[in-house]
Amino acid sequence: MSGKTGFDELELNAFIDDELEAARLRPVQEAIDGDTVLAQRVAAIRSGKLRVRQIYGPLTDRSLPAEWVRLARRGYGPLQLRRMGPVAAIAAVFIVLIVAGYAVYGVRTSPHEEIVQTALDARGSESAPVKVIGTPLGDIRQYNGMLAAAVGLDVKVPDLAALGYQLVQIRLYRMSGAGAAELSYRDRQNRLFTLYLSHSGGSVRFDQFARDGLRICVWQDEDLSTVMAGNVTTAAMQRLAAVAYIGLTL
Amino acid sequence: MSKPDEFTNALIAHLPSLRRYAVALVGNAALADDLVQDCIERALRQSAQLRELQNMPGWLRRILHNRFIDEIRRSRGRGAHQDIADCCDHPDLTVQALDSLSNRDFVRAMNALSFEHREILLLVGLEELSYRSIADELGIPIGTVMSRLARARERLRSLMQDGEAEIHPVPPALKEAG
Repeated sequence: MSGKTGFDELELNAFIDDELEAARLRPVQEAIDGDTVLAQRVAAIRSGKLRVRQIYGPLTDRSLPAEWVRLARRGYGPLQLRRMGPVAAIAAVFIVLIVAGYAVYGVRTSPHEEIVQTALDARGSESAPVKVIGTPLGDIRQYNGMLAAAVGLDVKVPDLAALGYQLVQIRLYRMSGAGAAELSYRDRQNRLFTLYLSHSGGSVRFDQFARDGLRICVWQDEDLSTVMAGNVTTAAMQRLAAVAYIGLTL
Repeated sequence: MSKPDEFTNALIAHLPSLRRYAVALVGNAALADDLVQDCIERALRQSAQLRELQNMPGWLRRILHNRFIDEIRRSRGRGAHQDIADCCDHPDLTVQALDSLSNRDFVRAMNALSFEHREILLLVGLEELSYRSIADELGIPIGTVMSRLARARERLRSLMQDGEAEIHPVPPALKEAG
């Protein structure tokens, strides 16, 4: 490849992964445009990369074993590690059936239906807020007190700027007599990422799944219920969820 | 070092992606869950070693990686105990038993790759890491990342084209590691 086009396999891969230095983008792109075989090869590599994400990506949709969350919360303690053997094999087959069901039938169910629907209603402006606060650029910490008072919990407005999202709006709700809030963020492409905050029922939950073209993450501790929604990849949601939850609670 | 609550919250937040990575890397859901659970315990025990929470995903993956190699070595040392080998990469036990032959072929090809090749394809394609981040995580030069990635993609293409993908009881690189 290098003799004819002036670049090698490593640069071709870097081009596909958006890692190629700017000065090399144009010659590589022109070479690809002018060579059908090379263009097919690029398409094949991109397809393979995409398939990795499509095939393995939905694995985050499975709920975490409650034992893992409890283990993490109680800190280091005796580990009851299941040993590999027939039982594990049976468990594996069971998981296969569940995941295959997801893959084949597109089943998407969530045990948090009600809170998720409430959050999506708020995001889709199906619910009427009692107050809407536009948030011009500035120190978002100025809204901490208002948010905490509205929700009735010691929470803060998370700063997602490090991940490219700026706070653009806060909407406050009254739901069944209790306060709730939706924080709206947008990135440079104007993509919306929302956090819906309300009181939890006391149970601890962590779940992530796809719904209505959105990736949803439900994160609930004994006090706070958070539903995050955005048109993002699973990996991006993991990062956003981690930063958002830490920002909310610390 | 982070506060305990921060560490715990971040750990829980990263578990779904760690579990996904584990399944994709080892090719078996039950084995992956065992490794992740073990990884949680080790992460809690070694939490003081993590300087920055933002480094947690790579740190967890390294723990997982080491645990997987330990487990393979241990199972080999037991001689007749083939439980892990029985589970690894068995087509009916992988989580991708799936809706199309082509997906199955793709997973088989992935499982037939060396551990290093599968690892780098997952770090780029699934975890969406930059070359720089991968180099830092694996402790290798960025040039090695690029060449390894190119070879991995070429090998995957070859396996898919030629139908070479076979079921390896243990990933080849781990056989060498032992």
